[in-house]
Amino acid sequence: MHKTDRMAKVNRALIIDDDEINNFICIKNMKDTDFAMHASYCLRGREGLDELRDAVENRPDDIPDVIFLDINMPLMNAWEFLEEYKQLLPRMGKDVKLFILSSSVYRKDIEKSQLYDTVTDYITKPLSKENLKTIQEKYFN
Amino acid sequence: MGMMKYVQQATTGKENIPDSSLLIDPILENVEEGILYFDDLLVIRKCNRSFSDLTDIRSEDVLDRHIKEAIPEVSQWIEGRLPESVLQGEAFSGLSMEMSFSHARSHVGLQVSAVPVISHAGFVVGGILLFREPLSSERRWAVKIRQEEVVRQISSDFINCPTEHIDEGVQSALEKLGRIYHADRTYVFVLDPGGQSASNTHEWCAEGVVPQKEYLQNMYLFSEYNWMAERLLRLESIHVPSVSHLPPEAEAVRELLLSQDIQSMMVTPLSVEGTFAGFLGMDSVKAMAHWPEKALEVLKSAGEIISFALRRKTAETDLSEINQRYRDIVDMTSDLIFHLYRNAEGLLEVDWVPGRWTQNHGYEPGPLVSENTFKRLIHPDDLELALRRIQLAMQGEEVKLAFRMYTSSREERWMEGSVRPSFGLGRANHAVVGALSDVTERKLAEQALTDLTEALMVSHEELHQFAEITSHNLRNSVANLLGLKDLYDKQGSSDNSQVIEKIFTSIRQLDLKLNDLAEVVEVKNRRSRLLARKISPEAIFRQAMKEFDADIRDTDAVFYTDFSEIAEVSFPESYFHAIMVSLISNSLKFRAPQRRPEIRVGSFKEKNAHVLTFADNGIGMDLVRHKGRIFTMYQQLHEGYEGKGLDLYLTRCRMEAMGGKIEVKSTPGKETIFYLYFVGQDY
Repeated sequence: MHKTDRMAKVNRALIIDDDEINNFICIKNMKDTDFAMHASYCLRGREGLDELRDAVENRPDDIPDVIFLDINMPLMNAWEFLEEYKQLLPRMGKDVKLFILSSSVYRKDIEKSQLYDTVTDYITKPLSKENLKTIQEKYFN
Repeated sequence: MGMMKYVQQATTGKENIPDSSLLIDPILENVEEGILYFDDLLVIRKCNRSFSDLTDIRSEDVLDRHIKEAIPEVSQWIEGRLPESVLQGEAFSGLSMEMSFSHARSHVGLQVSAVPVISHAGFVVGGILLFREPLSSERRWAVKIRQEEVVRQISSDFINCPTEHIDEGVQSALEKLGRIYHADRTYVFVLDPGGQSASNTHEWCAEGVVPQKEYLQNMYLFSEYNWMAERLLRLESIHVPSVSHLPPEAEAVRELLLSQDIQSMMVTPLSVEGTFAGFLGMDSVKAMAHWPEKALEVLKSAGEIISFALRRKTAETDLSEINQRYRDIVDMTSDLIFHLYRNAEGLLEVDWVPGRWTQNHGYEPGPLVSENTFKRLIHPDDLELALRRIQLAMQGEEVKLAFRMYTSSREERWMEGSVRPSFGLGRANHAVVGALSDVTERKLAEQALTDLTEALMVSHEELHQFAEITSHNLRNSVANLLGLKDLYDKQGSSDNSQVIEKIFTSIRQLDLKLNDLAEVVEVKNRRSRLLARKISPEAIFRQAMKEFDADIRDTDAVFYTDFSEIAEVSFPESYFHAIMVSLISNSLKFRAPQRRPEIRVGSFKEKNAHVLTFADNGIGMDLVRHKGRIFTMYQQLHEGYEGKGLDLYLTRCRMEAMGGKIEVKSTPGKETIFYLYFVGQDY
């Protein structure tokens, strides 16, 4: 768990991606833009679900406000993740914003992500400072 | 009415003939009565043709002889009464009697009368005997019947006459007509093709009469013999009792007829559907004929019968020619065109099929006759449907028909077309006509197209996948580089070393991914087939194993191999080596931690392939969950294992590049078996 604490409108952000460089970029940008008080990442979908479930059950304060989810990961991809996430969401007690964060510019993936009610939007990597500002203004103002 | 035959005119006794003989002679020759002239010494001086006809006594046997010797039958009568009466100048036309002549054709007695011949000075210089047939109603009836009999005979000759014998029928009719009317020549002229001229097609000649047929071909009837032509065109019959008395406007006709010594002529037009088509006629050459009016009636009737027969012959010849021409044309096609019918026993028969089709399919020319032959030719799977459709067509519907049939060498050919009912020859509901094309080449092309389409679909799907994977993976590294570039502090106010290190990592990842993709593209290259050569799977497997010496020692893995059924395959060596390395690596990597790894390599032969099996007792895979993902790019199914998820994908690509395939069976926690199918091998 990598954390950052700064004054920001978003309390907690979670990144689920097997690509560590991507996670480094996300965290660094969040830090630079004061996007979230806390930001952490998981390298596997299963790990992310376990983290969320644990927060729901034991640490409600740690339930993230924003989730960035990669599509293509070993063992469990974004779509498989979203099937289980859907079951968990009602128990979180807040309107979690989940963004698909993918290197894919492939329309099929973008369209598919739009079919999920649980997905707020689709962002193409890399996650930039501009992306973060937009999210802040649009969803947390 | 008499049947007359004109014989050579008597020329003796001229000194006793009256001056007006020039006028009298033609009259004598053209009367029905037999006339005999004798002088005052009862010596016969002249007789006409009718006399010879009626009595059957030749003129040369009586001329210049005493009447008592020449005609014994009349001598008694003459001796008793005639001389005095005649010599006393009494006319005794009332004195007549019937008498029979032994040789006469007719056994009916003749009426004989006598008249005296008186000179200008008032002396009786001779007498004339007139012989005539008694015109009893019975006799008229007999003659009529005889004429109708001729027409009837001619008619019946034709009714049952096959087309090829119609000419003989015409010939026979001409002879009958000639004989009944004592004509010298009877003939038929038929319009030549084009209708501008006519030719003598049939001719009958009495004994001793010179045939003219060969001189009478392509006669320009209309331009040259107008007088005759215009009458015939109006379908009028022409009777010329005396050719020399033809009117001046018929001069050309007269000259033509006289050039053939024709003295009398009777012709009647032949017609087809009311149009002039030729003519039937008879001539008298030796002398003028005295044909009764009835003869013209008989000739007309005969003309109608012959017209009909010739029309039938023309029609049947045309039909036969059309039929032949049709077959010749149909013979040119490679299609199966046929007439199929149910015979009297209810069995199907085909009477004829085109020659080229027969030849192309290796059959002897000739009819495919029996239902059994017919059925044997059709593929058993298609037969029932084909027969049902044929039956449907017989009931009046045009239907599509398609079936596979065999050539003589049992090669399968696809036939496709339609059949429809054939009405005619009383075969309604029992016959069909059909036209089927051999569409085998098309079917094969379609199959090839389907295969190609499938291959393209697969290709397309792979391309799609490739694009997707490229999007995910290559761009992932690029995206990282873009992200890192933004983090790089150009002012150098913060520490850039972490960012730079990650930039280098991303570049190395990108390089590896590009190499992987290059390998995939290389394997996908169809030219890989050119690399194929005979290899020993076992030898290459041993080489590949050497690369894992350390791993095998570390894991204590044990190998059981049986390459007996696959001693040799035709395959690129580098591919086979890479496949073996991938599978050994896969088995060692996914070994079950609690047991000693066992790898079993086996082989067997299938119908179209040599199969190599590669089994291990490793952790297995959940094939249900990962359905369709095992052999795709960048799929990692297990947690905690190194790898790019590319090996099995490349193995699949290598097998498929060679037309083969790879399949897998697995029980999670127990075993995994790969099946490698090598196709296109020699057996």
